[in-house]
Order: sequence, then structure tokens, then C-alpha cells
Amino acid sequence: MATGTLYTYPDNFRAFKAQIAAEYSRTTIKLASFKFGETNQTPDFLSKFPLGKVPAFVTAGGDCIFESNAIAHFLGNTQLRGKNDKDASFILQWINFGDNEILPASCTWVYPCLGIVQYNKTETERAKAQVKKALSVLDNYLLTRTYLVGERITQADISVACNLLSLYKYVLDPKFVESFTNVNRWFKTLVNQPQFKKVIGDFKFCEKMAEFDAKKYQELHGKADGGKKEKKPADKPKAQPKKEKPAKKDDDEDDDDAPKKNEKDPFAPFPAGKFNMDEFKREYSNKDTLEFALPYFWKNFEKDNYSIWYCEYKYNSELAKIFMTCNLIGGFFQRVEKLRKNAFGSVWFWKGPKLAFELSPDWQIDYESYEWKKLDPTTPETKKMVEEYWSWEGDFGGKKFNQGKIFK
Amino acid sequence: MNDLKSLATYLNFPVAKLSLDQKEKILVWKEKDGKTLRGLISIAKYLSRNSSHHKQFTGESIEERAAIDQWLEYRLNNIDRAHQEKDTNAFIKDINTYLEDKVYFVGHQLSLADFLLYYGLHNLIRDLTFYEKQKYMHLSRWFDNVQHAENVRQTQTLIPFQKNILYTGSAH
Ligand SMILES: N[C@@H](CCC(=O)N[C@@H](CS)C(=O)NCC(=O)O)C(=O)O
Repeated sequence: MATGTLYTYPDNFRAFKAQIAAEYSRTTIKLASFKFGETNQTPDFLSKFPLGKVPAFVTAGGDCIFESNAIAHFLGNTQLRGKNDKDASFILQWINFGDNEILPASCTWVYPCLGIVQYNKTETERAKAQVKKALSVLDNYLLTRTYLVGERITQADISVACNLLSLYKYVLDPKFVESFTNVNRWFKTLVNQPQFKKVIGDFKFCEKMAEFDAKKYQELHGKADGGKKEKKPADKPKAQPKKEKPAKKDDDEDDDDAPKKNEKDPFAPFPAGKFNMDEFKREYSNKDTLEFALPYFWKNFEKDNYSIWYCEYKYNSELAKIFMTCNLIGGFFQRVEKLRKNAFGSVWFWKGPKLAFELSPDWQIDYESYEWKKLDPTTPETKKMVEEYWSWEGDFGGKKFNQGKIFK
Repeated sequence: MNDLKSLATYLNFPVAKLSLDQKEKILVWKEKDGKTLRGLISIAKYLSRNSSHHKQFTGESIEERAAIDQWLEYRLNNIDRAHQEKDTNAFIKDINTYLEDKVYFVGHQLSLADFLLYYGLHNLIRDLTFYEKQKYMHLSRWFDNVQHAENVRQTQTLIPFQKNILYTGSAH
């Protein structure tokens, strides 16, 4: 019988900590069918896990546990948790060491190599030095020890090894780790344990240190800004003269900016139509979606002037890259802020029959990372989809909107 | 005889089938049907291959099984037959170097090689000083790990090791 359900995207080193623990304790866990950015933003998920983060775990008894280390603790056994208070303290010590001394430096070093964030030489060098220091500490400790605490594998080994996974995979080439014989021996033994292999598969060690990949970065972040950090669009097209009352400070901070004189409204070529976007948004924000906003939408929607689109992040299917969405999806919604007056939703609609992103180079920064599908507004499938997507956030206020990644 | 008895116990075989041929001074394993096996290595291999124990104990691949066999031979030829201190020193050094980058002798889990080497080395390691134990750090680390598997150690005495470096300038 399963002891509970684990929510995670695939290949998540944080979830691995818990999944490997479950292998050691021979605990069966159910993996929830999960789509990053969707499942963890549903009202149901957020009511259990208000942070909307994964991994997250619901026990068979209905208790909700977040934070990977806590989930791992729950799923472990006495061997993993430590057979006495002293051992348990040491285990906790190493788990925290992994999270605080290794993980931040690991992200700083590895993420630019994957094109997730920009490369900064000073920061990368500092991270390398931090990793080196942490590895030296570990190496000295492991000279006389087979595992971190006691003579058997504990959660300390599992968690620290999981924090080292992407380092050993991408940047710790044989030369860099040459002098860390004891850490190498320990890590290699761990990733080859059947309980680890069942969760992480066959581990492949880095052969050559990965470096910042400008091309990958451009691909992930769009060509438009030449790899610079995305800039918040300062101006807005004045597609709709009417102003929303600024309820959400983060997103509306540039509402009051006077639109620049020369800026062309990308939506200008399309007939204005009678659909009142602002009024609809107010319906949506202030009233019950199912009862008011949706009927309002279908009553006033002009299928000749507006089009409806469904958007899916392309990396969703690529398991290895899925974790990038953690960092990317937020940025994407920030960048397309300009569209706000004319478009809406995760099922989107906007003026004109075309993909709105083609209208302005500003919007093209990363729309290619997403798959866009035009929906036929007359079919029941579309109606159902619109209803499902838009009713997620129900009575959201400004804050929830931010978390819900619903664009409006 | 102690090691095969422990091995039989570890692998859930009845110890009673084991005896010592007094005349030839050789260990004998007798099955009910009269089938007999003689000698440490053949009995050890017979037991481990016939047990339902996890595959890693006997070696998962041909290479691993060959490597385990090699270490069983090593024990017989180098360890069991060592009478002089200089022989002992030589293989202790060898093993120590071999274990620098390994947790177990073969593969990534305890195998028959670890089991029989633990028994083969027990008395010798018991007699080492703390200084020597630190000098042969990798061997000590391995030994201490193996002896903490209670189903391996069984009735053997637990040998103390220091996890802190006691003597400077002599590690590795
Ligand atoms: N300290 C937490 C971190 C969890 C975490 O950051 N999860 C990310 C995965 S990349 C997440 O789900 N982010 C979703 C979001 O921020 O909306 C743990 O170890 O469980």
C-alpha cells in the first residue's frame, strides 16, 4: 500500500532525496501525474501547499508535507534517520551542509553552463572556490569514513549526494576532482547502490567541465536582446484608453507611465471591436469566474476581431530540461506584460487573428519556447478548455494572480 | 573453519553440514545426497552461488565473479600462507593502496570477497597498533565498515578504530 503521493516534475534532485529514502525503507509512494506550472498552481494544490512548490507530499492519512528534507525524513527509516539522537544530529548537520554550503554554489556554477542564467565570471569563480572548499571538508572527513554518519548509508549520504548530482554531472571533471579521492569514492559508491539507481538511473560522470553556453542561453532567452538580462518593458501600447484601477502593484507599476509618443500600437491594424477588455478583466478579477466572467466573455466575445490561443511550454516534454521552467516561466510572464491590455489567460485571447507575438519584437523574446495553438471559439472543446483554465484562480486577488501565472 | 561457519550462517545454510577432515586437514561440506565439497574456496563459492542472497554478493557480471575469485585466491595464497612479517607487510600495503578509491573489494556492495577477507585479516588487524591502523587508513576504513555489519561479524570481536587523525604527518 502506498504511504502517500509525491508531487514533482521528473528528474528533480530534491524529489530524489525522498524517493531514494523510500527505496531504502521499502515504502511505496505514488507519483502524482504532474505538470509543472499547472498542477502546482491549481487551487487544490495551493490549498495544501500554499508555496506552490515541489516536491510536495500528501500522506495516506492526508497530511501535507513540503520541503524535500522533511518528505525524505517521513519516508525514511531508522537506519536513514539515525539510531540515536547523536547520529540524528550529525545527519541533520550534513543535510544542512549540503543545502547551505554546496547547493547555492552549485546553482551559481552550473546554471550558466545550461544556459539558464547569464554567466558572471566573478560569481562563477567564487562559486568554484566555494565548491572546492566544501569538497575539501568532505574529503578530509571521508578519509577515515565510508559513509557520513556511522557505518551505513543514512539520509546524510543521500541528501548530500543529491546536492552534488549536477556538479558531478556537468562540471566536476576528472581533473578538478582528482585530489578529492575520498569524496569520489564515496559518491561513486552511492550512485551505484541499487536504491539510488532505481531512482536516478545510470549516473554519467562529467568528462569535460561544461562552460557557459551563450548559444543555449540565447535559445532559452530569445535572440532579441542579445543575451542581456531581460528588461522590463517600460512602455505600453495604448490599445485601450481606459485604465484599470491599479490593484496589483507589482504588475501595474508602469501603468502610469505616459505612453511614448512614437511607439506604434502593435494591435492598431486590427479593428477595435466592441469587446471591452478592461470591463472583462474586472468581471474576471472581482466576480466568480463560472457564474459571471465566463458568461460575460462568451456573450461579448467577437470571434472575428479576437482569437483564442492555447499555450504550452515546449520544454514540458523534455524531461531533462523541465526544471528550467522553474526559472523561466516567471520571466516569460513578466516579459509579455505588454500584452496585458489585449490578451488574457493561460488560454489566451487577443485582438486579431494572428499570433500576437508576431506583432512586436518585444514580445518575441521567448515565445518560441512555447507551443501556440489557435483554438476554434465555436467548438465545445474550446469552451470547456477556457472554462477549465480560467476557473483555476477563481477569486484571486492581485497576489494570487502573480502566483497563478495567469496573464491578464 | 570459523569463516565458513559464519558464511553458512550468513547465507542461511545449516552449519552442521560443515566438518573438518582431520586426516587431511581440509574443510568438507556434505549434502544429504552424499555430495561433498572440499576446501575453503569451493565451499564458499558453492554456498554463495546456491543462496538466495542478493546477486551482488556473488558478483553480478562475469568480470565481477572473476574478480571475486581472484581475491579468494589472494587470501589463500598471500594471506593464509604468510608467516613472516615481511610477507604480511607487503600484502597489507597492497590492499591498503587497492582500497584507496574503493568502498568494497569488488563492485559497490559487500561481496564474498569482503566477507572472506574480513575473516582472513581479522587476527592480523586486531594486532595492529593505532599508529599502524592510521598508516593503513584505507584498509582500516574498509575493515571498520565491514565489521559493523553484524550479520558478517557474528561472534568475531569488534576491533576499535579511531576516526580522528591521531598522528600527524603519517596519514595516507
Ligand atoms: N527548499 C525546497 C525548495 C523547493 C523548490 O524550490 N521547488 C521549486 C522547484 S524548481 C518549485 O517548485 N518552484 C515553483 C515555484 O516557485 O512556483 C525543497 O527543498 O523542497
